[in-house]
Amino acid sequence: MSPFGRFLPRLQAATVALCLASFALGHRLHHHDPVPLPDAAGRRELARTLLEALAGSPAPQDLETRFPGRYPGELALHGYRDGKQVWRCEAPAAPLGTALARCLTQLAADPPPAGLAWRLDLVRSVLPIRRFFGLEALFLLPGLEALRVRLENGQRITYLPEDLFLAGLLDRHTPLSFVPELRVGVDLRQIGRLAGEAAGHPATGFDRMQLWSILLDPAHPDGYRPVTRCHLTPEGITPASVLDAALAGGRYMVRALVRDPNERFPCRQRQCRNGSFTTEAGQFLYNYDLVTGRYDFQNRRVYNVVRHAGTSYALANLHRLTGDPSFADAAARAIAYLVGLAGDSCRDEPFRCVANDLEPCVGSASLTLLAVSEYRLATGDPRYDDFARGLAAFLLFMQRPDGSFRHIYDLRTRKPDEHQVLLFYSGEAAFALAKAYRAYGERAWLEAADRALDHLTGPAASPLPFRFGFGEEHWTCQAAREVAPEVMKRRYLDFCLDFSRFIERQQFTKTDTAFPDFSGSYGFSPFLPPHTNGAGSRTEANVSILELARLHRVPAGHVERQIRRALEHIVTHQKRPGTCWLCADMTRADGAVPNNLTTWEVRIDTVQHVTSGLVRAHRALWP
Amino acid sequence: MRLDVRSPCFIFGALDVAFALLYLFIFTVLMPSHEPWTRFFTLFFPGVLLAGGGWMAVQGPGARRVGLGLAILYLTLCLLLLAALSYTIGMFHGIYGPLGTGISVISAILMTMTVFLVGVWPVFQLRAFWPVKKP
Repeated sequence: MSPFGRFLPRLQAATVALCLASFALGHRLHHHDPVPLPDAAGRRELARTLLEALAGSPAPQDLETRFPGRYPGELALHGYRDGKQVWRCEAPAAPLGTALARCLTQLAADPPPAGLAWRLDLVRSVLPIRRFFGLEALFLLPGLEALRVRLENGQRITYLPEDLFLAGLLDRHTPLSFVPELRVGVDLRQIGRLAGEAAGHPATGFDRMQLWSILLDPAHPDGYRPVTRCHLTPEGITPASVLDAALAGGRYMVRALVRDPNERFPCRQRQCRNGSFTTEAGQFLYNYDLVTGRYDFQNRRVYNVVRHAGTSYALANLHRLTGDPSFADAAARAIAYLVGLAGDSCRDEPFRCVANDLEPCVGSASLTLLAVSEYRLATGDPRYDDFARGLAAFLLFMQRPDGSFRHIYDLRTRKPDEHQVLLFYSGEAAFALAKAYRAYGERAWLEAADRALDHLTGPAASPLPFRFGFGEEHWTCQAAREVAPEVMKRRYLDFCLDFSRFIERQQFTKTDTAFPDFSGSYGFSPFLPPHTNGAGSRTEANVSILELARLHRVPAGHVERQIRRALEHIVTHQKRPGTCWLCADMTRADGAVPNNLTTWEVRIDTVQHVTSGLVRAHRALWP
Repeated sequence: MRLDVRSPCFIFGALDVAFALLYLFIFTVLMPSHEPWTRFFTLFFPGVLLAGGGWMAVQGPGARRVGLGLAILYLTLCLLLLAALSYTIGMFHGIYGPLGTGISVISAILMTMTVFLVGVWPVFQLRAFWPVKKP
């Protein structure tokens, strides 16, 4: 063998060895090696000791011998009321018993008000955050780890996950300055500046700290419940818990409906007069911040009509499936608002449309028709029948002979825009026409929906790269279900089953990442916290796919599995009394589901999709 | 001066120049770095390759040694890049645990691209200019 021939395998082996060694080094330097917790009995005893002290019992004397474990950081006990931290104790847990004794002494000296939610965090491991080409913004596990800021004078300030949530410090890093909407990771400079201003000394470094986090719960046999990212994890889902969550979501939407145009709502934006705003009756309060208890400013000009219509549909659907009259009443008021909007637009055309500008779109007309049709099916109330027919005429006008749709109509030129294509609209139109057929029995609408589906599952899907992927087809598959059993094309089922398999590959499971609470949501990587909206809208689609598969007598176990995971995710993250100690106003927050897991904002369509997914899944899984 | 276009020096020199121009195009037009030292390195190494490749192509004195040196330099670079990528993957694996299929596929693609871009061709060049004992 030539000298080079002998050299080459050695080079390859050296390359592999170098890569493995580098991987191991990177892993070792950044992986927590946590100090073991007290055993289960010890943890119960810890919780019981605290609960007894909170109930007024004197502190035991032998805590250091009972809790001898030495930990690298603090024990933090903190109490919350109305989303605000009102009591806090932090003490070095070396040993744990000393920290516990210090907090119990503080409890006796500074008795907290009654009725607080009590959180306990114990630091089990501390690792420094070193600069690494800007990637250090991703080094803190958001909501799971605490961040410690080291200051020049040797002082250290700890930000617990709650502190980071309350101060809105998660998801603040903007890696691309020209895309301010792209926010990922923590902005260490911002946090360093805040800590520096608070202490009067500049920040010199950061540590990330792995925690054991619990919520004290006297009703629980252990005396506590584990906390993940400021929420509790339910022990599985049941038909009752899913239905209860759906009803809570529905009640959130009912409460979000504005009934009095003079009512003032607390506002997040500085430009709101006196920190509050009013808006038209019939609108939904669009964006709510759970932590501040404030809404985003809205008026007719900036209001999202498409999402309003979608929410109206969800309410009508809830009434249809549960029979609760409050949902029908809210749906009727929300639809009346849409009728009012439509009164001002398309008045010179042979059809009806819905818009708050001069460019009515297929999306708002579709979801309005969907809402009106569902309302008609749910209540039998005929007052919007003419309106529905006008909207269906608009959709038929906007449909091309090949089944595709023009998406925007220009009221100035009185012509459709032939070029602009918007996400979701074609699927929404197909679904709306199918639902309208179901409500009014107009055969032409079913045929139009079928043509739309033919296009959506055929030519519209082919430009996607070699069919490796799919677009957002959740409306398409709901439409495919709605046209059945009259239209039972195997191609629609195959398309939707493939779509479901495709999205299942994006669904997190409990062991996919360091974040077990991602399970059931859809995303691409652990770096980007998933949006809850996806769990809702994809569950709506999956329920339709499951029902369609059953009609075709085709097994669809993977669809059902996916639905159950998503339901657990939604129920886990829904805010309910007793599970949201960071919610500023539980009367407003009950039933809300935040848009994602690191910023506690609630957009109305997130609640719409998850609620609709919950109630429909309940019906499909436990008929 | 007459160029021997069939000689290994010319062939590998021309390829080096082509690769250097490709790297320069990538790092000046498609993906310029705005960090001074990254910008220096992303332009310095293609610059060295351009100069060395040109020297080999015109078959200047010691062209074979220049070719060998360039091959060793770029193989070393490839190893360092692979090590840096492996370290980064290990680092995030240490923090986040399993990274999911998407990120794992992207990492594998990045490592393969690194080998293709700065690892395969220097091996051939190394082989071509591997020192042989004169009989």
